[in-house]
Amino acid sequence: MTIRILPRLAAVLAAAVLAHGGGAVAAPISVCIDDASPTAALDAKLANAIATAEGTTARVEHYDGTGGERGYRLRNYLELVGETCDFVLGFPIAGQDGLPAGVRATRPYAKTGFVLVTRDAKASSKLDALPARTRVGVAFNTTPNLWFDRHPQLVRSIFETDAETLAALDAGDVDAVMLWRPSVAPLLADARHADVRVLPLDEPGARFDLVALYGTRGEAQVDAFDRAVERLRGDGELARILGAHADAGLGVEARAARLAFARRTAPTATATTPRVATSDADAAACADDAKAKAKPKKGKGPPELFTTQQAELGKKTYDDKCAFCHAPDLNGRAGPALRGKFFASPSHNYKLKDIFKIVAENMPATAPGSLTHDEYVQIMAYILLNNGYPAGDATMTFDGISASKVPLRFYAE
Amino acid sequence: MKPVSPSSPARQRALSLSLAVLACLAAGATHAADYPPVTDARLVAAGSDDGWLMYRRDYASTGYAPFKDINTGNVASLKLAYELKTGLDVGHESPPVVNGNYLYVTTPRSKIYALDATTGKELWKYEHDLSDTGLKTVCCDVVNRGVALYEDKVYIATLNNDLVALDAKTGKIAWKKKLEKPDLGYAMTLAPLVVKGKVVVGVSGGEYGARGYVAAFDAKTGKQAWKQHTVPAPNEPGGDTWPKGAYKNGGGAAWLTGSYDPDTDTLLWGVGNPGPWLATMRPGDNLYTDSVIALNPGDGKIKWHYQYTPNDTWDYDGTNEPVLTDINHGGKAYKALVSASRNGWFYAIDRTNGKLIYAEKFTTATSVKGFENGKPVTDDTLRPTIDKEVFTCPSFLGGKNWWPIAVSPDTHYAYVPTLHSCMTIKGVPVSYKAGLPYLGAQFKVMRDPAFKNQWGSVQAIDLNTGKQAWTFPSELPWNSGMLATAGGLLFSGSADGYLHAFDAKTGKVLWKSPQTSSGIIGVPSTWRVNGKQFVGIWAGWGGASPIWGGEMAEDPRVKNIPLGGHLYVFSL
Repeated sequence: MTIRILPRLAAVLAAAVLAHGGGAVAAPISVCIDDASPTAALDAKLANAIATAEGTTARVEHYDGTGGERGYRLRNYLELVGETCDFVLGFPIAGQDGLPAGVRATRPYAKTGFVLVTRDAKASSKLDALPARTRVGVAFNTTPNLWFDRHPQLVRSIFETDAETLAALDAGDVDAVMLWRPSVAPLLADARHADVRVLPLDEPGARFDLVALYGTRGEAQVDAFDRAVERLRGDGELARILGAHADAGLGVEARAARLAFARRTAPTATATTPRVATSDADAAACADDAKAKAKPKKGKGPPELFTTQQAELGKKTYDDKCAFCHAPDLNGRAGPALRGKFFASPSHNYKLKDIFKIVAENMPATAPGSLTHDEYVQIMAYILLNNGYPAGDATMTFDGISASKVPLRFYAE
Repeated sequence: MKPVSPSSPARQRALSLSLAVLACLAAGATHAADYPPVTDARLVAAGSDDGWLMYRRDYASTGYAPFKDINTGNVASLKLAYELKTGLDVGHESPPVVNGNYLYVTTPRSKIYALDATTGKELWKYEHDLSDTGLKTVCCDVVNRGVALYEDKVYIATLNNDLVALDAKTGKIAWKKKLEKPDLGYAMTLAPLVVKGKVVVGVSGGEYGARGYVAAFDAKTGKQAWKQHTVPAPNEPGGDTWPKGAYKNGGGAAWLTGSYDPDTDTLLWGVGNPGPWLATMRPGDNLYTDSVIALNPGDGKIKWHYQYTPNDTWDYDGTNEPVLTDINHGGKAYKALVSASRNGWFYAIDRTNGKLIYAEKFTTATSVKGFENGKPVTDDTLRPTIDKEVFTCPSFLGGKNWWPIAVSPDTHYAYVPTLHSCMTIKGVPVSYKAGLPYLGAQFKVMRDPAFKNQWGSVQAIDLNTGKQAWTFPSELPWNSGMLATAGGLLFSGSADGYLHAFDAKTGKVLWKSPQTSSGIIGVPSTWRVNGKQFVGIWAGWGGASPIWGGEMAEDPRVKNIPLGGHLYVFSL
């Protein structure tokens, strides 16, 4: 299973070294910073430090990397690096995932990733070395959810947010938690957490580099950017800026230099906090899920599981067969709402397959099981759309959704 | 009431106080401020009260009022006295419950209207806070079936499992008790029943693997007095009628109001279907599902039971109201309870010991094919299994569903709103998950081949024999409760929106109301204020039929029934 997930996270696609040497520029360096990213503050410091090193000033353009309801798309970065700024700071990259054509990455300037946080003095960053029945907390929809299948001796608890996950550790409800280091760093800064250990994890998809993205605008300045980073790294300034969020690393010798990326056809959301679309990733998870899992997600963004056409067809059938009881707006009438915080209550932790089973076997209540497989899938697509799951390129299948362990959540608040 | 002899100064004072209260009452009989306390004595004698003090009027659940002001001779002159629209387009089921000049009627989504019973003027309104629930485990519309009254309070059981006591005059909450978290299987829709200072309720949830129970709470404080599960644990009597562990999600919801027999001090309460529907998952009789249980109201202990449908696999809840009445069968007098069961049989049971007196079919009934030694025998060939579909009668909606019957001592008939339907049903694999349906069956309600173009009827059944005395056929289903009166009348509402007044003896329609704005599934009730008799009923189509009704729900004439809650109160 993990193998299926990893290629997109781990494949190093191509290395295209740009040979020309750029000179220092006197014009201000223009950077984009994602305000929703846990590295936003240090990105701003880094921008100023780099500008100072280059003898210029930094101009910061802020953007919201959550992209709202639909999630931020990689193709949005093409626009950022083409029109808005020279560099997009704070982009986490594991191996080299697909970026749209025209978007490139600088040399990594920091290393970060998912960390094991625990108060157990003997704990190891190797999950295999953790004792059987160790209770490990993870945040909903994040990559560490994928690792439990490889380490069945661990007992998983899923929480809604990083803060709630950490609170479970503090309350003694779990023995350790696995969280995104830049997110958890500020939470660990208080005295209450002086005794916790933060261990970088060595699982697939755990380690990330922070890079700056650039395109046509930044192309001429990228060598200067990289040189400035090297200077900051050399004098310890970089480590000071990164603080607990990330490590400054050892320089670039061991790494391939700048990377360019092949174009991928599927629109792919990206992440300042890498997330996956599921908290459960065992062998039973369906092909639809695998596609979704492969995409790191911004925030708690839901995966794309169905096409617009499926949802549109689903609306027609829904209006005819379901709306009398569940209301045309899905908010419930004589029957319960099929959207919202109670329908998709995290405390129930339903998987999509649980709900789909009810839809396909118990509904419509006047004649359960009487619709075609396609109709049930389309209705499910429409229900998911109304709960904030975006339509995409993937076609949802009956078998796929029947086995889907993607959690049911409400994303359309 | 026994006269109090003023033999001591304390009693003297008590007597003069109560005289003073009575004087006040007499002076302003229709003044809203006067609220006559609902005492135990009044509840025991509720049948002869001028009000309508509880869900089925009296502890015997007869639905019969001794009023003659409106009668066979003048019913044709009934006129609308007042009305009330709720703006809610789902099922309205509650009877108006009346004490003095105070009328309480509930609406879907656990709301109460308090009205002036003479004029319909709104006195107060209570809207229960449902913000903690998605109403996920409410199977059959977001209904409520009414309030209970005791002393100076009004009681409601809500969809999110709150039992609430309110001040009867102001609607102010006196206490509130959360019985269960919502959305995990349980809900409450029934009208509570107050017996000897305790508020008795039962839970819904048989379609969600909830384990049913009846529970009693101190009427003054809300403190739980007892809780009796309807599905026994393995170490309890009846526990061996279940596979190990199945009891936890075994159903047995007790979702309709029971009856009380003051003579034997016994609560009689119906118990719902076992969970999941598919019986192959739970071999055994599965006590006390589909049964009537006799409980000690003091501690909730079960005295006896009678099971209408053993090892049910057709969703034949035993919840339908047990009506306490005395009958003469085969030359012998019995203190009986009668119940028109979902399984299509009309049962008369000796209420002193739980023994069957007789059972007669009141509609096509094939799943339960007969009786041996007083115990029902089911037809094994009509049991669905995984991938085996059967056609059997009645459908899971029952020969009768929750719509209460009435029993008249004048005609000695039971009046039964009857559904004529059958179903296909087949098993499907099922696993329990809290908060999701737990059925294990696919099904479709179909026409009963014996009743072409007739979904419903109103039947009169002779209590002594169990045989039909008269029947009034209806093309549409008949989902309204029954009200019988000493005026020789039987009131009930039709799905096409007419309150009917039948001649209780013959079934002849003596009066039909102007068409109401929606189909009727409500329960009519009647009361007197200052010598004037009123009859009230909700219009407001909904409930289980349009949701689960298969061919019946798809019948265009049913599908097109207009919606919307609308209370109609009639008088001469």
